[in-house]
Order: sequence, then C-alpha cells, then structure tokens
Amino acid sequence: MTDHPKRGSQSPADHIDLLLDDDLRVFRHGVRAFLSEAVPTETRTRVDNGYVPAKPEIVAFLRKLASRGWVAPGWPREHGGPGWTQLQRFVFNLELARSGAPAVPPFGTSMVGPVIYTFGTDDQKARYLPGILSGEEFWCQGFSEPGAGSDLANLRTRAEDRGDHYLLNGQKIWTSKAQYADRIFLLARTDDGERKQHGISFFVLDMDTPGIEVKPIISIDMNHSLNEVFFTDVKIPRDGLVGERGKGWNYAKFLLGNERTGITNVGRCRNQIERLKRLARARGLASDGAFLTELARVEADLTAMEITEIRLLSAGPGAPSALTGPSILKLQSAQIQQTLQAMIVSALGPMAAARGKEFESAFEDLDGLSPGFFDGAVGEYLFGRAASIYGGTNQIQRDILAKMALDGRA
Amino acid sequence: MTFLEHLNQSDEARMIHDTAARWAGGIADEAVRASNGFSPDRWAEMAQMGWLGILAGEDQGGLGMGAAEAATLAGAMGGAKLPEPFIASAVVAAGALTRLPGAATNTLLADIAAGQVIAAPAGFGLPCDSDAPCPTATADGDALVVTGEVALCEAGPATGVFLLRTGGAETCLVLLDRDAPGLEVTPYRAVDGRHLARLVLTQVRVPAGAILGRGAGAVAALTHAEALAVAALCADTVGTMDRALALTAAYLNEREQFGRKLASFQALRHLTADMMVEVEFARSMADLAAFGADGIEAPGELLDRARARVCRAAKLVGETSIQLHGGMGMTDEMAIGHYFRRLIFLQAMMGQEAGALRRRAATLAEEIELQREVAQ
Ligand SMILES: Cc1cc2nc3c(=O)[nH]c(=O)nc-3n(C[C@H](O)[C@H](O)[C@H](O)COP(=O)(O)OP(=O)(O)OC[C@H]3O[C@@H](n4cnc5c(N)ncnc54)[C@H](O)[C@@H]3O)c2cc1C
Repeated sequence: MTDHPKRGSQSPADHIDLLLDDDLRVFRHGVRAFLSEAVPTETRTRVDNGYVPAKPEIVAFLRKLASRGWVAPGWPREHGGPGWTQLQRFVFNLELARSGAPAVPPFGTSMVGPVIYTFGTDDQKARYLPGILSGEEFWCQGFSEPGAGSDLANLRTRAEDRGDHYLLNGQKIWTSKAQYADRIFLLARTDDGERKQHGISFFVLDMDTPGIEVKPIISIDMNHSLNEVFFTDVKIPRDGLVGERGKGWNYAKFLLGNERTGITNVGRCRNQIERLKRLARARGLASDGAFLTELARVEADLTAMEITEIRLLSAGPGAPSALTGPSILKLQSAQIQQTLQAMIVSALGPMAAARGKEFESAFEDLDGLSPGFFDGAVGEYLFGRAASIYGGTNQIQRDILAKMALDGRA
Repeated sequence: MTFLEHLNQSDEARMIHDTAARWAGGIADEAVRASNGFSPDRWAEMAQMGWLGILAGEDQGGLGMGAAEAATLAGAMGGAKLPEPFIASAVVAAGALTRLPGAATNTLLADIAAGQVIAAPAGFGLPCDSDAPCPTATADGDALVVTGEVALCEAGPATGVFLLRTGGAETCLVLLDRDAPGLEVTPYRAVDGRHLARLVLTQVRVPAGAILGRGAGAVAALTHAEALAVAALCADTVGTMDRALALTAAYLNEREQFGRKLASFQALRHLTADMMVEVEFARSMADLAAFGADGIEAPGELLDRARARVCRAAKLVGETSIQLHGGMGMTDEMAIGHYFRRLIFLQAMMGQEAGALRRRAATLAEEIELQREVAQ
C-alpha cells in the first residue's frame, strides 16, 4: 500500500525546531525515536486513516509508554508523572500524534487524575493513580445528562447520603468509552443549593458496581464510542466522594479547563496536512491554485494555533490569558480540525460518496490510495463534527470569551 | 419557454409536485431505515404513479414531462431521504434513452417506466463527471468489445441493466445486462446507506443491437443526461436541506437549556437565518438548473455554477444543522444525521463544490489572458 506515512524519525527540521533550544530539540528527537519503534505499522496506518484503534491496540501501546513513565506527561513527579515543563509536554503531544500512535484516552490522565492528586485523599491517590499511570485502568466521564448538556449545572442525577454509602440514581449520556471503562468519575447532586452549581459533588465509582447499566449510542459515523449510563440504586462507598461534598462544580471547572487545552490536536492536524498532500498528488490537485492556497492558509492557521498554545502555556496559570486561553484554543482547534477534515473529503471528489466494509474490500487501491484512506476520511469528517460540540460547544466558548471582552468578568 | 414561465409551473406540474410532496411526507423515518437501501414496494408505488416514466414519451409508457417535473419529484424524495435510485434510473438513464431513438430504447423506457427494469447510468451523470476516463471499446465486426472500470455506479441488487458510456475510437452508449459475461459487479454502500457498485469489464462483448448510440448522437444524449442529473441532484439537495432546516428549527423550539428554549438564543437564531439564506439561494440554482436542462441550448456553464452553489449550501446547512442539535446531532438515531449524510452523498455526486468550479476557473484564466492581449 502506498499511503503509509513515512516514519517520523526521518522528518526534516521544521519551524517548531526553530523555536526550541538545544535541550528541547534533543528531547524531541528522543521522543520521536522511541515512538517510531513503539507504534506498530498497522496501528499507524489505521490511526493515520482516521480510525480509532480497538482497546487491545491502545492497551498495548500504553504499556510501552508506561515503561518510560510517559502515560501522563502532564503530571508532576511527586504523583508519578515525568515532571516535564509545559513546553516539553507540548513537544511530546505533538510527536505523539504525529507518530500515528493511538490517542491516549484523556479521561484518566488529563481529567480525573489531576482532580484526584489535587483534591483527593492519600487513600484515593494510592488506589487510583497507579492504574492510570500504568495504562491498565480505563476511565469514563459521567458529566452530561439528557437535560444537562451546555447547561451542565442542571444535572439531576442524585447521590443520597445513606450513612455508610451514597445511593446513586439517575442517568448520564454521551459517556465516551463507557463500554470498556473500569471506572467512572461523575457529578451528582447531593444537596439542593441556592444556585444550581451548589450541592453538586464529584464521585469516583467502579463500573462493575451493581445497578449500573450501559447502553450503546451509535454515532453518525456508524461507530460505537458513545453511551448512556443508567444508575439504579447504586451504592457508592463513602470514600468514592472526591474532595468536599457540594464542591463538585469547582472540581469540574478545574477539570474542564484541562480538557479544553488538552484537545488542540496540533499533531493530528499536521498529519492531516501530510495526508492532504498525498491525496493531492493522487488526485491531480498539485496544480490547482485554489486548493494550494487553501492548504497554505490552513498551514498558517495551524502555526498560529501552535504559537498561541506555546505562548499561553508559557504565560502560566496566573496570567489573564489563563481565563480566555482554553476557550480560544478550543474554538480554533475545532475550526482547524474540521476545515482539514472537510478539505480531505472535498479532495476525495465523487468517491467521498462511498463508505463501509464492502467498499473497503471492493478495491485494492484507488488512485494509489487504500480504500481505507477514503472510508476513514469520511468517517472522521462525520465524527469530527463533534469537535465543536464536546468539551463545551463553540457557542458556549464564544459566550465565555464575550463575557470577558464585554463584561470584564469570567 | 422563458425562465419566468418555467417558474410559474403548469397546473400539471403543480399537481405532480403536490402529489409527490404528500406521498413523500407520509413516509415514516422508520420505514426508510427499515428498507436497508431499497424498498421494492416503494418502487412499485413510484411506478404506479407514473413517476418512473416521468421523462419517457406517452407512447413509451411515460408521462412525457421534462426536467422541471423530474426535479420536483427528486426534491420530494430528498425530503423523505429515500434511498431508491430514482434519479439514476428514471431521470439520468431514462433521460439519455429519450435522446437515443430506436426500438430497443422504446422497450427499455417502457420497462423502466413500469418499474420492471432498473437501469443504472455508468460512467456519466452520477457522479457528474463525464470528463473522467471510462471503459474503452474496440470494434469486433459490428459488435464492440469493452474493457475497463467504473469505480462508482449507483446500482444495487435490483439493478437489471447498465447504460454505459464507452470511449475509444468514438463515444458510445451501450446497454449491458447485469449478468453479461466479463462484467464483474462488486456491491458496496454509500455514506447515506444506498446501494453502489464497482463495475469491472473484461472483454465484454456488446452486440450491435445493444449499442444504443454512437458518436455525435451519443454525446448529445450524454450531455442531456448530465444536465438532467445536475437538475435532479440540485433539487434533491434542496428537498434534503428544506427538511434538515425544518427539523433543526423544530428541535430548537423544543429543547431547553438554561431554562430557555434553544430558539431564544440569538447566536442560534442567526445561524438558522444563515441556513435559510443558503437554502433559498440553492433553490434558485436548482430552478435554474432545471430550466437549463430543458430550455437552454448549451447550459453547461450555468449547470456548473448551479451545482457549485448548491454544494456550498449543502455543506453549510448539513454542518450547521448538526451543530445546532448538539450531541443529539451526532447520533444515528436522530433523523438529522441521515439528512447530513445524504447531503454528503449529494455533494459527492455533484463533484463537490471545488470540482464544479474547476472548469469555470480555467475559462476565467483564459478570459483574463485575452483581456490582457486586447489591452496591449
Ligand atoms: C462525541 C462526543 C463525546 C462526548 N463525550 C462526553 C463524555 O465522555 N462525558 C460527558 O459527560 N459528556 C460527553 N459529551 C457531551 C458534551 O459535553 C455535550 O454534548 C455538550 O456539552 C453539549 O451539550 P448537548 O449535547 O446537550 O447540547 P445542547 O446543550 O442541547 O446544545 C445544542 C445547541 O445549542 C447551543 N446552545 C446551548 N446553549 C446555548 C447558549 N446559552 N447560547 C447559544 N447557544 C447555545 C449549543 O451550542 C448547540 O449548538 C460528548 C459529546 C460528544 C458529541
């Protein structure tokens, strides 16, 4: 097959290298060399084509990352992370995505992990952090509910204090990967506060606890990653409460801030540009001025996003941009990812009409590209619409920014 | 007919429109899902109402109508997101056949109209890209021997014959039976679930009687069929968008967040208004395409412009309607996602916006070059 990406370690110097000092450049090349060995070619091709690898593939890769202590690059050393600087993390994430590695599930590493080591008890840290760091335990995020999406504070799921446990009843929706999660972190109402945001608590819970039912939701790309999760008289042990009772909203905000910066996907966007170049060659677009100008424009957009991310990361958590930065990055990354996905679909031409397993086996190749390139690209375009929905929709991000710009408050 | 007359439909055309809209409006979402890409019962109903013979002459068992009426039907089917190959068989293939006089075509048109034969255009019309390479024919006595491939053809298990464009010494339109020796049909699915197929031809013998058009005659029929394809695809897209917009408006009026209807948020109102503008522009272009297909000598450039503009509208309306549904828009369970996928299919069939603009970009470059020469 001709659509294999080149091994990353031979890539020439790029503009990112120009921004790094010698130490970081050496770091970058070390990461690259490791990843080029650690990611099997088959996984690389599938990921490059836009597919999400199956759990065993992810587990196998996480194990390799864990052997270097790199599953959770953002964690400080005292909690088992590598203790990297922001820039090291940026470089690492960039290389990770460029290598065609399976995306590291964010639910443990970027979401619940930092909440637990920041607000949890020593017991909770000892119990939950090692499984995340080893890549062996998978988590899912139980925030959204049917009536509580953008308006997350409207959630109805209740955890009633029954002395030695909390009794949980309610429903979550859009719970990504719940079908193979070992644990869930969730928000539930423990008390009725004055404001909707009060009285919400943050819990962690094993998914095999009696009373939990997971129902699949098939998404528009015809895949199963989303679920509904139902809780009927589920007993949460008392030590499932994280932090203070009733303070869950604060922890959720802390977590969502991490989520929004964690999803710029710069590396994947870089790969998409490489894919567009391969596709352009295959489909004779190399002399199409409009296509080339659009590609050049999205490259410039991507560079602007990379530099913004570096700039905001280096400003630190106290800077004014710490409030607006996550929303700015979230908006732009959704925009750039979706533009690239749509450009690829457009460049597929009429064959963007095709999908599915039968299509993939109907052709050896199309213009020198595997049918998986086509099918994966359409699937990724379809599912990619979610980038402007999850983690706070584009409209909600704009509201946050408008409040800062117009009302002078967060 | 002038364009204004075209806009003021005849009574007959209006009747067809109303009947089709009523019929399609009565088809439940579940029924369409359950049909898994093709419903023989719906196909029989379409035949019964005469729609599969919309273009065929009355002596060929058809209604003898034109592109505007065919497009009206396509629009209604888009609104109900029907997966049946109405455009493929009754508009594009039948449309080409109406320009290829002969006993064989008369019989075939009658069979298509009756719903007894489903014909698939291969190498023209769907997708709109008749400049693309097609299988090559070489003469063998008065027969042809054809070899080559058509990567995407709208054909399913029920498709009986292919109307194939061939290249070589001259352009021909030939009729192929599904089980012709040397013809390999590999089925697959479209993004919106309908049936597609790849055709691989290895030394397929086409007897003289199955060569329905040659040279200039074949090219004229192809040009007409391509124009009909654009008109029908544009109309289908408008029908699909109308429904996507209506579903989105209904959702915004039903769903509440922050204690208010989503329809009360100005950001969403404005996005909805943008969708509306797109749909109206697309409707104009669909009208123009239908008029062009019947009433203009060489409508090529206008048709390119029509499909380009309709493609752009389809992209914006499809993507925005998903966005406004939030997570619900991402589910296969909600109908809106099916309309989105249909819009992706239709854009691909129209060659994508960029593809539709390519020819004009080239002639523009020539025009600018010419102006420079004049100025000098
Ligand atoms: C692929 C995917 C994965 C997800 N994974 C998870 C997960 O693992 N765990 C989890 O808890 N959740 C998850 N979510 C849920 C996600 O966080 C919600 O979908 C999101 O918060 C939006 O909520 P909603 O779907 O209810 O849409 P709504 O809130 O109903 O929004 C519908 C539309 O209204 C707009 N809107 C809403 N309020 C306003 C306003 N005030 N002003 C202007 N416009 C507004 C929105 O922008 C959107 O366009 C996931 C979602 C998706 C699509």
